[in-house]
Amino acid sequence: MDDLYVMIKERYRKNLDMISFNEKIPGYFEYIFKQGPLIRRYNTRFNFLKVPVFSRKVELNDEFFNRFKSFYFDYIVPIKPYLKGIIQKGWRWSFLSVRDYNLIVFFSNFCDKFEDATILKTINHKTFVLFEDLFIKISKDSEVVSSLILSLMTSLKNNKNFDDELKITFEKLKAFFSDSMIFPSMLDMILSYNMSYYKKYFQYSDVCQINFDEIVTTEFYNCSKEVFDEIIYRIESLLKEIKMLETERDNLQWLKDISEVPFGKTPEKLILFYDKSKHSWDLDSDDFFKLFLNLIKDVLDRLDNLIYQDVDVVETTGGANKFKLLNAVQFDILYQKVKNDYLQTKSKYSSTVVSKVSLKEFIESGDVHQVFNEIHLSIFEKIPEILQGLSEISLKINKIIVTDEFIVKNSERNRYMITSPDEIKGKSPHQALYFYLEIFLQICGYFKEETVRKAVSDLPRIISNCEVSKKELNRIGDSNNLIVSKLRESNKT
Amino acid sequence: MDENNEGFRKLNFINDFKKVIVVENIQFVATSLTKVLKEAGFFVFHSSTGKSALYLTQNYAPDVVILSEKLPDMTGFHLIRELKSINECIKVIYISSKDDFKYKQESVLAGSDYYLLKPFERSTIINAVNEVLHGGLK
Repeated sequence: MDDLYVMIKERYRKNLDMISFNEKIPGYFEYIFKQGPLIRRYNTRFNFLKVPVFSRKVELNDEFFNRFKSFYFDYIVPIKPYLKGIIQKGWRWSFLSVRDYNLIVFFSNFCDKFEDATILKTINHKTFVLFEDLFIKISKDSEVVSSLILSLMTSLKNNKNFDDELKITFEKLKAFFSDSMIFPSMLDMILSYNMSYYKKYFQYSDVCQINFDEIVTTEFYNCSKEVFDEIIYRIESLLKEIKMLETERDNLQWLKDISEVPFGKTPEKLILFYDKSKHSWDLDSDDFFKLFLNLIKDVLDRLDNLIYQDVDVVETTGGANKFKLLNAVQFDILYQKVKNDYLQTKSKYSSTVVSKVSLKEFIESGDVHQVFNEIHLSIFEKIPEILQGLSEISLKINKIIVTDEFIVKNSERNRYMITSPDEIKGKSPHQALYFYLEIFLQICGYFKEETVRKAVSDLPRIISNCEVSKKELNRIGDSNNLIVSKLRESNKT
Repeated sequence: MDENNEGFRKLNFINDFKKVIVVENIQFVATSLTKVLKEAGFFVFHSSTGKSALYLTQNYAPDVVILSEKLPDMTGFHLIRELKSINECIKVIYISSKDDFKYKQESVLAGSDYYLLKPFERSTIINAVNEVLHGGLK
């Protein structure tokens, strides 16, 4: 990951010009007649400088050093201890944008440079230039200051580290970066320092002419290798999570498409299947029990054929063959259970005189107790179990295809064509199983079988989780998707 | 979230079983076409007459019929019309040695989906079958 870190760091490096007064020291006469008087007049406001009349030896006095250090201790020291934690964890927080995070990193660098500048007894020019550069870049744009303070406050509030004392500290920090809220301001001190160094008078406008579009990158976190590794670990987890959620989503979407009959629509496949056995869906629809029992009888007949009878096939090579599509060892118990429940229900239905409940009434009811009386309910008793059995058989058929436990292996799925029985003639064995799977699942879906209904009702949650993970990936990944592409690439190889 | 969970799994490959009938009464052409198509993964029937092609179509619902212009019991155009009347979704590839615009136009009017001029390469017939299966008209 070292290479990736270097590549990303390089790609999103924000190259800003260094702010430096970088002036030439004026000649003696220019100093005596122009710059000296201006500096002296300026110094009457703050008295940070020793300004001799006939010499260019302008120096900072103790008042400057004391004030400079007090700025650091008053405005920066109360906040500094929190920065490390925010920088370590901030990329995880959805309320902190990449820009917010990078502003905090920028501010943290500024604090370090400020600390460096205060450690020494005298001011080291190289150290001071680094400090003033960052100060001017932050304070130049009031929006940057506001964003920075808001980001820091939000981070601390969300981590329950915020109290009234800190609120005052942030108000002070805002003042620290302004050029008018405290007197003298840090900008006044920077001007004083540069006057002493360059022996030349400076004013606010000399600083204010410098313009920057954006001081930090908004494309990726400007983070340490340690934080970068954590981000990569999270991105890898998200990629795995999204892949799994997408697979789950596709599976459930497939189940929904195959099993669900939209409200108010007719179940075309079921009707075709039902009418094949010399019944009439339209005529039988006025009696839910009759229609349902007929339908299950048709299903049991087909299952009987699939489990216990051979199908005739021809091979691509021209040869003929025979085999059973479903293995009795795997399906017999489930089949017998559905059959027993069917026979019990059929026997109850046949031996009881009840008023008819139409299929429409059943389908449109939210609760069977709304449409069925006590006698209906006693006939209905085993129907949920019949449907559950059918759903388990469907699941098992699905599983033997997916796990390649089917008598015809997936790699040979186009080798055979069924020639008998007629209902599946012309189909491959896989297509034949799929044909019945569709019918069984549509029965489960249409007649509100619980397992299928619950699985399909989970689809919105899976879609939503998938979106949440994708959103997080978009948030923490770099703007050009270089990291994700690189990780996907390395996972392939 | 377990990859090996017991839920329903999407089945993707159910519709890749495609049946092709080759209607050709010249044995060596039929054998060669059948071999090429089988090698490409299609389930192939061979029929040397129009009548048996119609029987196969009625019983086995082929996806594509490849037919030659000269058949012993009916013309190629007549067979195309009969095939389309059984199932208008069947894709028909008409093989001919006539490079004639009017004749090509007639085959299209009869209902063919692809006109293949003899002689042709192995890959051409596979491309033709794949193209008609994906809805192209040539």
